[in-house]
Amino acid sequence: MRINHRVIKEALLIRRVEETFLELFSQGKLNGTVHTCIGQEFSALAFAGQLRKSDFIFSNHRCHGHYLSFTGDTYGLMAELMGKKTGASGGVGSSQHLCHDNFYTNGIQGGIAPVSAGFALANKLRKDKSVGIVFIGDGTLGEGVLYETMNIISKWELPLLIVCENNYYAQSTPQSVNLAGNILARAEAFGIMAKSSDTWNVDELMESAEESINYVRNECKPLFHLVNTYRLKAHSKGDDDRGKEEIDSYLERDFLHRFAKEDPATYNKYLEKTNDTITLLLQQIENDKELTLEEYFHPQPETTDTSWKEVLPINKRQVELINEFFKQKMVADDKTVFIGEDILSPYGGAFKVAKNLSELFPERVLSTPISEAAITGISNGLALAGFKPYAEIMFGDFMTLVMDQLINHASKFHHMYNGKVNCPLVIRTPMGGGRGYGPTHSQTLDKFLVGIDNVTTVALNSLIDPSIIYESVHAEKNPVVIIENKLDYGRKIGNAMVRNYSILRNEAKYPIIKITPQLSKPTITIVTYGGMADMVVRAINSIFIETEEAAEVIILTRIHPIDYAEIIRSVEVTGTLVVIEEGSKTNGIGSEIIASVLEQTGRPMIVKRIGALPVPIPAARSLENVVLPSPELIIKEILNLRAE
Amino acid sequence: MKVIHGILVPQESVNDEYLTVVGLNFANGAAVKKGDIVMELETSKAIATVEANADGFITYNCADGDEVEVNSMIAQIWDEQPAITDIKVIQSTQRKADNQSGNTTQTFNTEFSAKALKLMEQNNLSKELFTRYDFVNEQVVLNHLNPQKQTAKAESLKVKKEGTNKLPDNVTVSKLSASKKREIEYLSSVQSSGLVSTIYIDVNTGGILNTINEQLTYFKDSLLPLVVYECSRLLLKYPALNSFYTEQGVATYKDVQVGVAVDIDDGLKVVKLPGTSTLGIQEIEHRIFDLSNKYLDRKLTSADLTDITFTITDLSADVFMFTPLINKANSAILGISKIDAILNRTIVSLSFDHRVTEGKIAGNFLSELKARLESYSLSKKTATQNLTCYKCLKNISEDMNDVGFIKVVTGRGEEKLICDLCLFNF
Repeated sequence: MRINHRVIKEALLIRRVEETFLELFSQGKLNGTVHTCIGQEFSALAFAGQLRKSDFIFSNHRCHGHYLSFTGDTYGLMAELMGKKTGASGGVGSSQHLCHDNFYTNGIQGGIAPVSAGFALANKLRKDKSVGIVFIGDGTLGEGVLYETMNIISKWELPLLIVCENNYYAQSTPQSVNLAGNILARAEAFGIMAKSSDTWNVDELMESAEESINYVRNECKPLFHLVNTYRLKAHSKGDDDRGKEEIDSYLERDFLHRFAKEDPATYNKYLEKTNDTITLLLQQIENDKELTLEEYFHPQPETTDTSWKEVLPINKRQVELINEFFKQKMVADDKTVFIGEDILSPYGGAFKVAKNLSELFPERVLSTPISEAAITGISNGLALAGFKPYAEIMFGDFMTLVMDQLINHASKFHHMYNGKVNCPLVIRTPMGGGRGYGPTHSQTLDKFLVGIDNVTTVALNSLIDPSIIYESVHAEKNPVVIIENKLDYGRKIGNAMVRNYSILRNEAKYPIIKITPQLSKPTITIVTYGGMADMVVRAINSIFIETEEAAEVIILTRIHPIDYAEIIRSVEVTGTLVVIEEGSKTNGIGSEIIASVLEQTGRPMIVKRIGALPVPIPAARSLENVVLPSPELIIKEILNLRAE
Repeated sequence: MKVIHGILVPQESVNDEYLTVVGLNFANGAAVKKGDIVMELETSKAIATVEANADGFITYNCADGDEVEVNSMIAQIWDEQPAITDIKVIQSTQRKADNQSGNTTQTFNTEFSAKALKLMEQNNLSKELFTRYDFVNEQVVLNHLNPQKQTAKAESLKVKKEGTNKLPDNVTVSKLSASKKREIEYLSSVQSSGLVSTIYIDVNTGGILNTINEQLTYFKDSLLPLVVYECSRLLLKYPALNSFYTEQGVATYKDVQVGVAVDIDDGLKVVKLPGTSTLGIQEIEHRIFDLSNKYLDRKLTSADLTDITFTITDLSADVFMFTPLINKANSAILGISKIDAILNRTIVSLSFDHRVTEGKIAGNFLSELKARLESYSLSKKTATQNLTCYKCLKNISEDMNDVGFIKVVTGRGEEKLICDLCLFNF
């Protein structure tokens, strides 16, 4: 008999805490929503309750049981749902976003699967015998990223236990409507051992769960454990169309229900004690305060560096310099991980950034299947676990597949867990056209990658030594997206020739490069970044010859957030601001720069955005040349500016 | 030996394209420390100082009295002391077009715009003429062809159309000072529109000064503090006169900052009285006094001279009546002329920019100002205080009988006052 009275009391506590949440909700004392696991408690106790404290858990929207079983932190859970700063996530996360020691939850279906795989990978890299559990529901079986993850954890033999709590409904939709085939067969197809239990035979469940945990720990392999169960309450609150008969039939099989019937005296004694505990906690929590804005969000003001020094040419190609950075950094910092597609030697990645890396660091250079969401999710998990992952997304166009992990996971973790964690992952990707790769391999999607909370976006260019940028990125605590450029990879750094202009850069963390006439007062300010920087610098003398304008060019290396001081200083002199980007110009980075400069200076000026035409980038050379910004277009637009 | 830092002419105010060098504080090649004031430049507004931004040895590219363009390089700081011969080379490259290589701060492999090249070809100009420039556009070539007009592009084009101004032989030409040029530029700004009109009104000053002098310390017998005081209140009611014309439309100032023109032998300056409409008469008087002293001590700062919304010029020491000229970024100016001691009146003139406002409004402003000023003479107490008996010189306030004075006509036909005692006792 594995079920003892301690477990029964814990199950009762989980149930009563959740019932209290429903009561508080109906009293209007809970801001937000609640998903209860009433009826499913023993799944939580069997798995989360039998882990060690050094193990970890990733859970989902229905996580209260898992949380209480693993952490025992009833106060933190209740305070969190009541929005108090004493809560597990300071009241920021509420029901679906909890963080305590090695326990994490998020409200995005499936997204936690690769993150937990990354966490498990971190344990494996550290040669730590800790294991992890990721809880999913049967509804999550519809998410593609789950299968990307199962493929990888099986191939890489990661110590991760997937517990699929099958309560037969995805929110309100019964399984018969949206699930094909066999659940266990899905895991088996990836070569993952699959088992099943249920919450009605609790003894067998406890035993089977322990076996699964031991298997994962001892074999260092994943396992898929299906737990058939039933939630006795609605998915959330008002969304329940199930028949009463069906619910009642499961109620009869519910362990706590049966226990109450069989031994009402003991049950009532336990119930009373549990209720007293909850009442006492509630009284204490009600006096707690909510977070203030200052406590929640405190942006650090940044000072601008104004010590300008000359940019000198480096007789090396950009790609060699990035490759050298990684070779040095992976020696200097054993938490550095390089992950991506096709990066093993001798191929070394589509653009050869990873050349020879896998030979030197076979454990920390991880070549993945074609699974951009999982690459990013695993990197998120590594970052949460203290590693510095560099994820390579082969083409910038594929960043769309990364977005859920970037926006709903990486960007959120720090603030939604009230500053308890950092997620310093780095995503590197090349953008840009000019190689005839056509509509889905030539785009510049930068505008979708700026303005994301807590994410820094930087862009390399052909004038700055990339190791300067990479060193700063390596020190960042928050997620960073690095935009590289396909044409710049092969260019030698700082090699552009300009007549009678000085090429200077400041000493900022992400330096600003300024190209300014040596003697004349500039008459026009051009702001650009990334691959366009090279084109503008090469065209700067023709721009003068054709337009009479001696331009001051400001090249940004950090495109979010932008340091405007130098742009504003320049525009105060020239009164004319031209922004050039390779992406299509509407709703773009140039629009943001112009708006911010106007807002901050409050004075009228002549402005112009230059960007690509709003059509897919064609492969045909002559057509691609006119769709993307060119020196000819820039000259034409500047002449128009003065003619108007 | 290399340049650690180049010093550029600072942009002290948006209006200045050129500044005048008024002091070089070190010898060429002298050691300087970061923070040392290495030179002084005169702007249209005030004196600006230029600091060294690094330790090193300085060389200047300009001489005292030169006019230098904003953002051009006027000095360099070197890491080691340059030999005197080096300095000579640097200075000579400025004037001679010799192809000194390795001194990029001074001579250039000049870049010419397409239009500039075309113009040079038409005028048979050699590229050698422009080695001092990094970039030569059409404007630079035009300036070279027509050195008198180095202002805006439009202006120099206009001059070209009108033909060059040939001077007759029987004149001598003295160069305009930098400050005079700026004065011309400032006054041309509004006046050149040709849409400026001036209206005049006479103000009866009898009694006003008696009332006012009591409150004044430095400017006794002057209407200026009172006029400033009343104008600043009235301008709140007449915002069109506290505005200026721009191409985008009429820009109206949100507050009133009256400027007072002063010219005490050191060039005309208009000094600002910040927040004029909140100051009392005595405060106004004190501020004008303080600013005049700063002017004489040459300690005016840029802040004392900018953002003036309305100007008052006081020529009451000299002239019977005059037409004041409107300042840049103003729509009106008020002039105070000499008080006629016999007729007890003065002429107040108001020039206004017709593009911003019109005669009727300006007229109303002046009438209302006149009424306000004259109201000071009606103050009974002060008006009668200085009335004295022409026989015993007793003041009316000392008239213990409370009879009052009687108006008499003297043997010389003058109207005078006499007290009751003198009337009966004599």
